[in-house]
Amino acid sequence: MNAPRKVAIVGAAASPVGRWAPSDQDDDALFELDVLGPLVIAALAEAGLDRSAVDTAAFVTPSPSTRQLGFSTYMAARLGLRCNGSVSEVSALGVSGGLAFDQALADVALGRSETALALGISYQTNAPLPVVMEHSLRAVGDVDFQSPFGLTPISWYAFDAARYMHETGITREQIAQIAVKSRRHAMANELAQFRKELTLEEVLAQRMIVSPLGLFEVPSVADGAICLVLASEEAARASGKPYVTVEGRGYHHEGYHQIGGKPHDMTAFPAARQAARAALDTAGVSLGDIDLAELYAPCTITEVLVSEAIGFCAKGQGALDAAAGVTSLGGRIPINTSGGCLSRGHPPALTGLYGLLELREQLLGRCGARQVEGARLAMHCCESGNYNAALIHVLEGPK
Amino acid sequence: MTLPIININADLPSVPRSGHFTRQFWQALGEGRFLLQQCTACTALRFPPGSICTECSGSETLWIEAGGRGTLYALTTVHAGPPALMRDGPYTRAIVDLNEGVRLIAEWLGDPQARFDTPVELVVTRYANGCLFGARSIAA
Repeated sequence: MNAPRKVAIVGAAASPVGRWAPSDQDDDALFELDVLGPLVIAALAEAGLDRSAVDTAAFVTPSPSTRQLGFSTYMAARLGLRCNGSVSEVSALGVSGGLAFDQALADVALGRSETALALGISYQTNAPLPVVMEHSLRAVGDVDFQSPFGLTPISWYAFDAARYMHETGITREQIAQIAVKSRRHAMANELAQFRKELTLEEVLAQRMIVSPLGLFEVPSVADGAICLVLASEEAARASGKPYVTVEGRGYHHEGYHQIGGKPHDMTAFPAARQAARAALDTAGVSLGDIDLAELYAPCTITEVLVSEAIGFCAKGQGALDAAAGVTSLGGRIPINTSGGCLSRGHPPALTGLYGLLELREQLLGRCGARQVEGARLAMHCCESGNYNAALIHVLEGPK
Repeated sequence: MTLPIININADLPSVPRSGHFTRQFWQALGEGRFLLQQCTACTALRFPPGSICTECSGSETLWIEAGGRGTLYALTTVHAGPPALMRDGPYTRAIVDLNEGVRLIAEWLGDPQARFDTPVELVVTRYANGCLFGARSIAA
């Protein structure tokens, strides 16, 4: 086996995040292939490649409302791929997008693949809400000892928020600044689901969803489709086209599912801290070198807690830093310049890929009004459960 | 110690399964006793019950009865839940740390604004088609 090679992101294409899944009754519907196929072709074209180059297709497992099963091998066939690396579906709740990227990354790094796709399509808005809820309850809890209590995915973050407020004295109003900041960022992102300016008063005026979090402090349902193209840095350099490289990677699962069976600080997110340390170590950089970050954060509180866990903000300071502009565009460490889950939008299994896309666009200097000036090193983090697991990649822009 | 049993005139939308390693728990719960497993190899307490010890992979266990007292760690009230659970409006759930050093989710019976880190007791919530467990505040 050869030594691992450095890997680059050489192409990408994505649909805007939003509510656009077709209903089964629509006889003009675009099915999964019809949305994802053109994105794959566009992403490869950006890299100056065609389908014959692809050795790996790492699909995010599609949502339960997807009719076609055997999705990865079916889709590889319909896309006209012939692969020597691997064709797979990967999923592990919110880490799924990051894991698909990781699979593509590993295949290229290990020389199994010259060109690898990390891709997926997720229809969330075409399923009846009770069906989605019943399914999600079973995903985010022990089906016998937790799911019967009716804890929806975001209700676990609501526990975090309630506990954090109790321990720190930080208020809901202060935490809600994350929603305002996210919207300000998303206003300049053409892929974002919500782009109309939002005030703190509007955020606080919404109906409660899972106390202490209201409608604008939690994500909306959303559909998405995205394809990233990875190749060896050597091939990327030879192409003469702009690219970003993957410099570091870290992962940790803390051994809990939502909450563990023993008392512990559920707001500490140790998986994020540990994965970040591993990613920085493999990249050979320190946290202070990171210019911007995309952090998987379905709710306002989640961004506060992961910012603190990784160390971008001091313990108890995450919300205050957001209010002070520290984590906004122009601040010390801009976080979620895409608008994040709250405003860019949150097709959960694909959120990781959308976050990686944002960092790639930032590092290539293509973000216009939301560009982080001089962005060179960026960190991406996605998670599952109550940040029980975290997967972190460090990306670097053109030298 | 027998837990208070609260009768609720409704069906649980989702009834927990009772299996080889959990049926003793659910049977005892119906009688007002809250059982924990204890690993005979490393003495760690385990909840939920199951076939192996998370701490040491041991498979031999004893059942011990919890005292039914603990501390409130956190609460949330779900205002947008599955329709079957929203029949009577929003519902409140608790994370409770038992005095034995076990953390669990419970229905919350009482003030949704109750202060955290205060003492609670476990109760059995007996529905028409099965039992769950809840918690409520008690005097310190």
